[in-house]
Amino acid sequence: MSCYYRQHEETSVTIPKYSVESSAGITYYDIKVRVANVEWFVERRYRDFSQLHEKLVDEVSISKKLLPPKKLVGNKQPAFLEQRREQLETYLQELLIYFRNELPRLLAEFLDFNKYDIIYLLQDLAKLFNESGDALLSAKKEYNLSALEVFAISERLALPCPPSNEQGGKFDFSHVLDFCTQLAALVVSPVKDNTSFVQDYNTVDVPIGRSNIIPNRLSFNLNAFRNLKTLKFSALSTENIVDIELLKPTLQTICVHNTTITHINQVLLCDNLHKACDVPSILPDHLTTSSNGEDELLTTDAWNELSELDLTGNLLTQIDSSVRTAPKLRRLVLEQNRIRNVQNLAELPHLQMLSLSGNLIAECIDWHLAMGNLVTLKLSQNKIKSLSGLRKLLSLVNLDLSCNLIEQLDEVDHVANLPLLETLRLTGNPLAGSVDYRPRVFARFHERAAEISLDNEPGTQQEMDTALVLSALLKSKQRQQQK
Amino acid sequence: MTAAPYNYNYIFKYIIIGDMGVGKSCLLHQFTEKKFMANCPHTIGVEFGTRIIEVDDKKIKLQIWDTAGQERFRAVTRSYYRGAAGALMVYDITRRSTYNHLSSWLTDTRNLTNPSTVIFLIGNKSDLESTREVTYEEAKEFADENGLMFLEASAMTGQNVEEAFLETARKIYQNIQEGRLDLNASESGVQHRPSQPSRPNLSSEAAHVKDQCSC
Repeated sequence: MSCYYRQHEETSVTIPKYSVESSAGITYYDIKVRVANVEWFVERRYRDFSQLHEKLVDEVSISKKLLPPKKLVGNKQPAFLEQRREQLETYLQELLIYFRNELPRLLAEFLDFNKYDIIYLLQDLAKLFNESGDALLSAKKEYNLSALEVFAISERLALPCPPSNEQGGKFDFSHVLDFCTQLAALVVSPVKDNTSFVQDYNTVDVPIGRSNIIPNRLSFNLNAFRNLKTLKFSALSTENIVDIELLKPTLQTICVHNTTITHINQVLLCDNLHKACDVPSILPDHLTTSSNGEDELLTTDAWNELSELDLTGNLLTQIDSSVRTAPKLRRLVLEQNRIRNVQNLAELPHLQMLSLSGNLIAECIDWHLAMGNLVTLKLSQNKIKSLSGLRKLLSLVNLDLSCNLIEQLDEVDHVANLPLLETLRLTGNPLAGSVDYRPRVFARFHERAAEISLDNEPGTQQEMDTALVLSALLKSKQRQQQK
Repeated sequence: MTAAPYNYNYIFKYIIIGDMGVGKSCLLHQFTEKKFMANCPHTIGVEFGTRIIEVDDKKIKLQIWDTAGQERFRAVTRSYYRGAAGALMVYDITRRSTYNHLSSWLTDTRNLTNPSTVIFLIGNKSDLESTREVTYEEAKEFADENGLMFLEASAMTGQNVEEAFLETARKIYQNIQEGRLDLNASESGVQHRPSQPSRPNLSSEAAHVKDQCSC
């Protein structure tokens, strides 16, 4: 991202080429702006130049003769166009010399500085927040900023630059800060509100617009966001955040979607260089030390307010020990990843909801020893065949096992003994295709069948009647076997 | 199978904690089955039991979580403290070490439950008077200092087992009546189920509908 304010000496404008649009016959001049290492292109036609010039003459008393004059006849000749390209290039270069310190808004917008330069981009934001910031905040919705905008805010805070007084302070940076400090829910994505931008990890190296700025290479802090409760990153790695400590006292929800992250520690310990080192257990070995003997490192490192972590759609392969830094976690959503087994969940005493839908889990062995007091467990779209490992997750109320590889009806027995279970989803498994699937599943619950909702529906009276008979048969069979 | 789904007005959630081998599972078994379970295996993780009791003409379903006393399950069992309305803290009157550990169990309970959780101290194995290592008076003093309810009980003979579970429920019910326990708090450990299903619970609404259906 450029900063013309600091780097105007390294700034250049050229017009390397022009192009003629064949159908309408309009000539576009392709302007290349370069500020230090950052460059971008912007297309303008002669009419845009002349409109700009007219206003500049009016507002900042530029010499009227600076712009090459309009030509009515023969303005499509290549020789003429080449000459004009040179003239326009010189024109822009002269303007740039003239406005060495600060570009007027008109010129900044003409050259797309408001898209790629810290100061001018923030002026746009300031104007927006000055006009509608309060309305946006009172709507209490999440607000989407692009990586570039967040980067600009972070850089601007470190920049010794006087506030702009242009047009009654409406472009002043303080409007941006005012908004940021009050914002509760922030979404950061590579490009703002652009649904056509395919948001998956394949786009991590796609530059912004016609520039050479790549969102995933911008590092920023979020220090301006002092009251942030929800932070969502989409197609953008959280490893771009430096110094996340300041967010820890307030953040309650973190969502990171569609990135290439493979470990949870890339989110929870994103500003920590030593991710490989094992996170010390939050749980004290001896309960006597639990109240006062806490490690100092831990208390500063812990996400003490974080209750929801949603990392849907990444490339996670495991649940690493960094989850221990969020001891208050209540909801953990890890859908659409590449996780094969669960670890490190036992030390999350507040965990109520775990979703591992769309992963590669083939076996769940003794999960009651891996996690406790879970109310909702979602395991849809995995490769589970046997349910025996879930038999003692006694606190489960909602269990989603849809779209797995469960074939045997006997497997249902393992979960039918869960005393509090109310909703069960088994649709999309091989066993769900069998004759009388529903009553046969209900039968496994015996007396509790009426309390169960299977695949989002409670049993019909007919199903219950069949289940009653089947249940009686099952019981007499069991009695015979016992004899 | 189609008996009234809620023949009770409240659900209270209990947790039983204490050192390994003090008789937590046996107390639960004695309370739910009214039988002594000899050669009770070590609990792996947690076990679960229910029983419907009556307090002040109100039917109350107790959902009791019996935790493993072994240290290696501590991480998992700690999560069950969440939302407990009553905590039964058990020690063995014939093993002093189990009594000495009570303060750490208490710290854990206070840290992980809410302030309104009723904590009941049970000195188990009161039938083994000859090998007693902890006197009633000493434990009573500890209980009074920490504001706990206290009884000595025997899972073997059944002495005082009912009383401990029922006294805890009475205390919780009293807390509700006196407004010290917020029923709407998510982790209060108490659920109110009106006997007339005028306000059907969302998750079990279906069961109600079925019940009223005459077809």
